[in-house]
Amino acid sequence: MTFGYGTRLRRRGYLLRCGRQVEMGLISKKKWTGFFRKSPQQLRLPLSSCPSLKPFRASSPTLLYNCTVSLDFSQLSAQISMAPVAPRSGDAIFANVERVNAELFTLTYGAIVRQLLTDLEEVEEVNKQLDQMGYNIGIRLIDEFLAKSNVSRCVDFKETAEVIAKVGFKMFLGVTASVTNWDADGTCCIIVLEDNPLVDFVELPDTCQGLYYCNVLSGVIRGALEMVSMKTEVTWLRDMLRGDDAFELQVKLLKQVAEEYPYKDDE
Amino acid sequence: MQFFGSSEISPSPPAPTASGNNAHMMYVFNRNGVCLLYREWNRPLRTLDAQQDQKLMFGLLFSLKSLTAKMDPTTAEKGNLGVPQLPGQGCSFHSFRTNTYKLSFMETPSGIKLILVTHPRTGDLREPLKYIYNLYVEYVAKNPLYTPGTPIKCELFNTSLDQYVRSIA
Amino acid sequence: MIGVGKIKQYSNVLDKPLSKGKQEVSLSAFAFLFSELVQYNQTQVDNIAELERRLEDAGYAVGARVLELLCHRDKGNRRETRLLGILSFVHSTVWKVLFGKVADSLEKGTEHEDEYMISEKELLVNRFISIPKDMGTFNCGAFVAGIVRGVLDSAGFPAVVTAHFVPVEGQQRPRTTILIKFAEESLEDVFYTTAKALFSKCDELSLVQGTKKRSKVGLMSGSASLSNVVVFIAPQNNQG
Repeated sequence: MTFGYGTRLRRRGYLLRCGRQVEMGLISKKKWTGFFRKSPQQLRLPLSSCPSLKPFRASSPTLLYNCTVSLDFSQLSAQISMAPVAPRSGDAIFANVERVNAELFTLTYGAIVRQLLTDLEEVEEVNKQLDQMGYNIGIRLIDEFLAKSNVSRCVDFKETAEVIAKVGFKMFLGVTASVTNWDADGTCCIIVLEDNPLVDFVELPDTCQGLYYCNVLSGVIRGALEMVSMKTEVTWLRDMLRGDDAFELQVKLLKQVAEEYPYKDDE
Repeated sequence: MQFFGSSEISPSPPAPTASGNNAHMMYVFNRNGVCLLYREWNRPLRTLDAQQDQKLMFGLLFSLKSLTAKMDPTTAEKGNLGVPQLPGQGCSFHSFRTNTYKLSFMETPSGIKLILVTHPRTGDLREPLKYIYNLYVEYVAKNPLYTPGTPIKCELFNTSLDQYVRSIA
Repeated sequence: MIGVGKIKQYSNVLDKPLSKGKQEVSLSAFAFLFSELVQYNQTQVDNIAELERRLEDAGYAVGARVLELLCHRDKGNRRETRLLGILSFVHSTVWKVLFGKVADSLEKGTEHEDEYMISEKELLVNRFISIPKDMGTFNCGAFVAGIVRGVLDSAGFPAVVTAHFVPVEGQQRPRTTILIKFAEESLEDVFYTTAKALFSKCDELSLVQGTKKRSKVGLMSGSASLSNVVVFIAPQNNQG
C-alpha cells in the first residue's frame, strides 16, 4: 500500500503538520489546499519511505478520524518544503492544530472562577486575579502563537491588532473577532468578539454583578503583547454577561519597549 | 553571514563520519537575558564558570545583532549604533562559521533566543532551530509545572531535544 | 462596524438553546488554561497532597456539570443507575466528550471488590508535563480524578478517586491510572441507594404512580442530581 498526502481514503483526504516529525490525520481537500497551497495530488509519498510510520487500523471511519500517524521526514525533507513562509491564516492554523471540546474548556474555566470566588471572596480581587492569570497565560501563549502562525515580526501596532483578532482568537478559541474604531494615532482600537466560548452556561448571580467574568482574555492580550515589546492597557468596554449587546475590548498601546542589554557592567 | 566561510585559514576538523556527535552545545535565552537552558553534548573546553560563559554568549549575540543590522546596506532607516532596537526590527543574522565550529542562531519576536553550536560543516540549521522552538512550545511553555523565566528542568523537553539534535547535524 | 457581533442576546442563560457540544477550541488554549489552574493553586498550598486536593475539587465541579449536561443532552434526561453502567458511561461517553476518545481501559481491581481502574496511556492533562524530582508523586490527573468523582458522586455513587502514574514496560512515559474506590453505599442495591439518597435530600416524597411489579423502582426523569428526581414506587411498597 502506498499512501500519499493526498490519497483519499474513505472519501476523506489527509493532512500533515509541523516540521520533520509530522502528524497525519484526516482533513478535507479544501482545507488541505488552503494549508499547503498545493493540491493533495502534488505531494505523494510512498509508505516504504517512512520508516517510523506507526501502524494504524482503518477499520472504522471514527477510528480513522481520530488516528494520528507519526512520520519521520528527516530523509525526505529535500522533497518537500512544507512550512509555508508567509504568515498563515487563523482558519488554516485552527484546522491543523489539535482541538478539544469547547465544553471541557468552558467548564474548566468556570471551575477556576469558582475557586477564585471562594478563595478571594471580593469580586474586585477576583477580577484582578483573573487578569493576572490571563497575563501569565499570555506570556506563555505568545510563543505558541509565533511558532504556529509564522508571524516573524510585530513592530506595527495596527497590524498586530489585526493579527490578534484574525489569527489569535481563531487559532486558540476557534472564534473570530474584528478590529474597529481606530483612533487618529493608530494606538488605540476596539476588538469585537463574534463569539465567546468562555461564557456558555454562564449567568452572573446577583452576588457577582461586578465580576468581569472574561477578564482572563484581556490579561492574555496584555501579557502576549508585552512579550513582543508592546506595553498595553486592555479594558472591557462591553460585556454581554453584564447586559451589553456585545463583547468589546479596548486595546491601547502605551509604549513600545526597546530591547536593552540586560546585564550591568559591574555584575 | 559567514566569517571565514570558504577561504579557510587553517583546516577544519575532518567532516564527521558518524552522525550524532556533531553538536557541541545549545543555549536558550529569554528576552531578559536569562539563560533558560544550557545543554552540552561535546565540549572539551571548560575555562569559564557557567554564568560567565552564558553572559559572554549573550553579549556576543547582542552586539553582533546590532552590528549586522548597522552594516545592512539595503535599508535606509537605521538607528545609531548602540541605540536599542525593537525585536523584529532591522535585519537578523542566522549563523556564523569559524574554521572549528558553526554557530546557528534564531530569535523569535518574543525574544526567545536559540543558539546551537555545531561542527563547521553542518548545513543550514534554520529549520531545525524552528523545530526546536516548537519543542520548547510543546514541552516547556505548555508544561503546567514550568514557571516562565526560570531555568528549564523539563525532562520531556530535554530528552526530545537530545534525540532530535542527534538526528540533525 | 460597532456591534458587529453575531451572538444573539438572551435575557436569561436558560433561554439560550443548549449547544450540541460540537464546538471546539484548540488543545493549546486548554493546556494554557490548565497550566494556569495548576500555577495558581501552587501558590495556595504548602504541599503536594493539598495541591492535588485542590485540583480534584476543581475537577469535581466540572464532573458534576458534565453529568448534568450529558444526561440532559444525550440521554434524554436519564442517567445510569447501575454501578457498571455508570462506570462504562464514564469510560466511554464522558471520556469521549471531554477528551475526544474512549478511555484506553476499564478494569476491576483484582485485590478489592470495590475498586475499579480507568487507564489512559497519555492523559490529556499530562501530555505536556514533566514532573520535577522535588514534586515526587504529584499527578495532574488529580483534576481528571476530580471529574470522575464529580460524575459518580452526582449520579449517586460516592467514591474516592485518585490518579497515579503507572510505569509501562518498554515505554518511556508512564501511563495514568484513575483509581476508583467506591464507598460502601455505592455498591448496595439501587433501590436502597436511591431511597436513601431521596430521603436525605427531599423534604417530601409524593407518590406519583404505581407500577405493576412489586418493588420496582425506576428513576424516570429529572436531571442527573438526585435532588429533583421523580420516583415511581409500587403501591404495595409505598412504605418506601
